[in-house]
Amino acid sequence: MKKIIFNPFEQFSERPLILFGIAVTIVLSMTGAFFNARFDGVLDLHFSTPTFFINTLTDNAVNVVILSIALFTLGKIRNSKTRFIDIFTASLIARIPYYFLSFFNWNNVVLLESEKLLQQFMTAQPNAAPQFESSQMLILVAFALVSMLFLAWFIYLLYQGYKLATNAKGAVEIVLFGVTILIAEAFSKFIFYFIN
Amino acid sequence: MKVKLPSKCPSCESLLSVTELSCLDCNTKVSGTFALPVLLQIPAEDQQFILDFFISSGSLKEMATQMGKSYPTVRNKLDDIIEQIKNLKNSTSL
Repeated sequence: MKKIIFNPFEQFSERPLILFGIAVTIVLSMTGAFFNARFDGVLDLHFSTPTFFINTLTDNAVNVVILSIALFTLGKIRNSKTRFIDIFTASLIARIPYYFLSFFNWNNVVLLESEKLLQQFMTAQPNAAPQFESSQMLILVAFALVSMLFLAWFIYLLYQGYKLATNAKGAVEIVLFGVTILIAEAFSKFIFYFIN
Repeated sequence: MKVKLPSKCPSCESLLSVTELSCLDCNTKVSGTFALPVLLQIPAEDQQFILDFFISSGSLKEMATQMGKSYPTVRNKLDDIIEQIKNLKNSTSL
């Protein structure tokens, strides 16, 4: 079970993983739209209204394609035997935990509380600290912690998939992988700027 | 019990050599110093992998199905063994 959750790439071949990944991405894009989630960047999640299924599906498709191209380019440079299909599978499957974060915006709670927080900052008197409700802080801090956990799970899965696809070993590969993710994030922001 | 052929000295970790060969039928013994073939210097698990790879006509896909692993997992294992053999060949030719 642990292997399935943290490294399914070792056991399952690309075909069932891709079919599963596409099906889950479509279903969770629907729920993402229901909870007003926008994945407008490789590492981004924001809540905004109104959000439609086509928005979240496009977000997720663009993110998977950008991640795949960026990691495949690096993988091909580091190991010429790297196959695009393995990197694509890793990008598709690794993002799944991240999609579950949208469920935490039940009843738009995260969106409303973060908008309220912004409002409090904007209307606060100069040199005076804005007053926060403890329930508001609890919701936002809990969401921030959960987001970090799910982001870590996403990155861990992605690295496991990348490592397997390229037979990467050692610290240098981890650093290059990290840098490539950041480049992919910057590039995705640039693409979403034009799409949205 | 399956006896494992040791390739390294348990005392100093140096590579072992064959110094005696015997005929089990007539008890003739041949003495000398014969180097272990490179394939016998790798772990038994990797030797079995090479044998399975050979039997499956070099098909990594078939190997992956037999082992219940994904294609890149099996390909990486093969690449690691190739790397190991290359290193052994280099160290013995030095």
